[in-house]
Amino acid sequence: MATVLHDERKSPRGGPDRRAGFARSGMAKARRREAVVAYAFLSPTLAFFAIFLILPLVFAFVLAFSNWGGFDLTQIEFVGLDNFAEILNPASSFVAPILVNTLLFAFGSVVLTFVASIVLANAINRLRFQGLWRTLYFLPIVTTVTAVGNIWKYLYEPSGGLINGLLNALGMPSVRFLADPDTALPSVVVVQAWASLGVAILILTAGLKNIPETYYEAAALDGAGVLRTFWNITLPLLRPALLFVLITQVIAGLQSFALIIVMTGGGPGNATNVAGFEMYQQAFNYGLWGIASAMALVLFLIIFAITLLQLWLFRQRGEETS
Amino acid sequence: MRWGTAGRAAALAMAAALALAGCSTGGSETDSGKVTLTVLTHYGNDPLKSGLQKMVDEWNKNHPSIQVKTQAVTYEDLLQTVTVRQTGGKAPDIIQAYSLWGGQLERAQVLAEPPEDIQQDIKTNFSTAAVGAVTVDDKILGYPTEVQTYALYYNKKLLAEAGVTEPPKTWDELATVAAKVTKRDAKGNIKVAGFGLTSGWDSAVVHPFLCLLQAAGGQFLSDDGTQAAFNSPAGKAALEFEKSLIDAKSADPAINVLRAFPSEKVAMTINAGWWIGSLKTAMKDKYENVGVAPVPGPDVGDRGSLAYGFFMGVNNKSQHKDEAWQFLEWMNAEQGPDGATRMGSFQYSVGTIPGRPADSEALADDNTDPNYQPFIDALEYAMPEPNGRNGQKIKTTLQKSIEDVWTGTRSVDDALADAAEQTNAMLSSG
Repeated sequence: MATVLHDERKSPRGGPDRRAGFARSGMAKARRREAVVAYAFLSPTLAFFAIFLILPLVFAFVLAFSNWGGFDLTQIEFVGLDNFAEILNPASSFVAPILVNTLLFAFGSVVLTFVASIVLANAINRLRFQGLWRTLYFLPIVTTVTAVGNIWKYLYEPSGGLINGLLNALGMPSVRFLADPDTALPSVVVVQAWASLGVAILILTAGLKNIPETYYEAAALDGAGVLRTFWNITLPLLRPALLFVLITQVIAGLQSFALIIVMTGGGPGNATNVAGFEMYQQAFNYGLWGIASAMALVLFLIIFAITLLQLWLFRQRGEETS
Repeated sequence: MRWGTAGRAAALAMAAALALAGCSTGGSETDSGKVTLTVLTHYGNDPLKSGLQKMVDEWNKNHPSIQVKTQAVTYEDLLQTVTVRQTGGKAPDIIQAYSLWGGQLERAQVLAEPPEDIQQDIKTNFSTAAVGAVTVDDKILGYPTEVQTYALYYNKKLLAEAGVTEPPKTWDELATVAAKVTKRDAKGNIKVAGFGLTSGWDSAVVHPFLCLLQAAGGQFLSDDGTQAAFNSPAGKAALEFEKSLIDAKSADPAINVLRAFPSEKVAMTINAGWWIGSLKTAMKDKYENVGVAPVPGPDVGDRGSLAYGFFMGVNNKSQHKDEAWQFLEWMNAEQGPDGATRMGSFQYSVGTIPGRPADSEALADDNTDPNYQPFIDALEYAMPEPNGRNGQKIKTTLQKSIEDVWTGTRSVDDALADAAEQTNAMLSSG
């Protein structure tokens, strides 16, 4: 393109005005051509987004207000807000226990991951062979959820599981981790937190590396202790990384259901049932796509509201996050 | 330059068009009058895969103008695959489905109505349980390919070690035997469970309960199929019986019975006939310890069972319905060299009861394992699993209520009343 413009400006025909006019129209043409080429190159990506992102989103939105049993697109029947009335009805299990479980699952695992990753990232930052430690903590991320879930299921087994074996060796009775409705959800939360620790540690250690050493030197000169330095220097300066970890982990926790399928199937009863799993059941097992889409829309609004709240809270503390 | 720009744009547009075109083609192919039928099944592993393929190869050899192609997915992916392919215009001509999905498939008009003579053959020549499994709202959906019934599996060796020589004939006997056989370690962990109950899988939770319900004289739904009937004295007795086994620590739903029974850590459990094949493979020589008896009820002579099945139907969107029925009729109705239908022989060879009693009779000499007999007998009295609208959702609802009772979260009365209320709502909303 640049070659063409150069040639036209150097054209020997016509005076300066004509030359300027030619140049302008030439530039406009060139821009149009550039735009055409740009869109042509972008079109596969745009088509991809349209087919795999926009279209399903619009389809799910339409289905949330419809009754559809799957199979035949001509049988979609508009039902207004009926699906929402059904799932948000107090008698429905969607609000309680399913949404309550979803929030407990997400926040429980986030709190555990958050605290553990801050402690571990700080510890790793002071150790030798940091790469090795980060890799070790990152390993669960590259392991499939099915393997993680099944291994933890064996660990939790009431008879013969490693954890209960240890408890028995210490003279304590076995705990029915996944079979007891009171302990089932916390048991899965621990696994989710363990499995997501690696990413959080990776981001936080990178954040720690970005804090200039001079702040710590100044704090030391002023006589600040370890805890005070951590509270007044490390935590505030780590805030962008913390916010990123918090938001992504909360969203992942609210959407997560693979671990639930593998470890408990939502049971016993509805003790570990979460929104993602219930949606999957409603759509693919019960053929109730309208109900499943309405649930997805409600979950989307919850995730959206929580994310906005998190951003607002962090900005209130006077920290730019971008 | 210009040619380059236009050329690239055209090439990209063409690529996009081709990609889109690739997404939208579907249906059966015809090539110079030759018809190709596709059959979608969950027979993805041997011996099921090779057994079906053997029949298809025989058909293809003798019917050059109607060729059949099999496509297999896992059982867990079967309904999902049918849904997606049906919606996406890539529907298979013949679909194999679990009887419980019948209501869902029928409501969405996925399956074509069988020709009159085939309907008559099914109604007349298949067992009551098989016909019930493929009937929704008085409509036949397809050929029953296999029928499963339930019975009580027991480990003779474990029972004998506790001085028991006969399988229990009543619930009281079952509870006594279970308590005798159960072994625990010093910490109270169950080493051998007298009775096997498993949570987390709908069939493993609901089907044994329904067997006990029938054995106590109850039924799942009312005769007209419009109301839940399990919230009855029989239903309460059946669930209280299961709970009493858990309270007595003779059963523990945290134990995976499918793993623990073959490793001789569970003495008795209720399961379907297909399990015989799995037990033979898993237990090898120890399979000789396995016995099968009818599921007992509160009194001597009471017995209960449940029947479900799989069937093959023709897709309503198929371009070649006549050819598809022709193939299904050849496989399911025409006698093969051994006097049974090809499907009957195939199912029998993998340890499954064929839906057509004549097949079982023709092949009876081939079977020397007495453990099959209680499942064959149960064909006569087993309650068909209700396969009407919202069948899967009703089953999952009942599963959760039963699990709540097992874990002590809810009382039997509360759990069954709630499940019945939800079931009635689902039956009327279909």
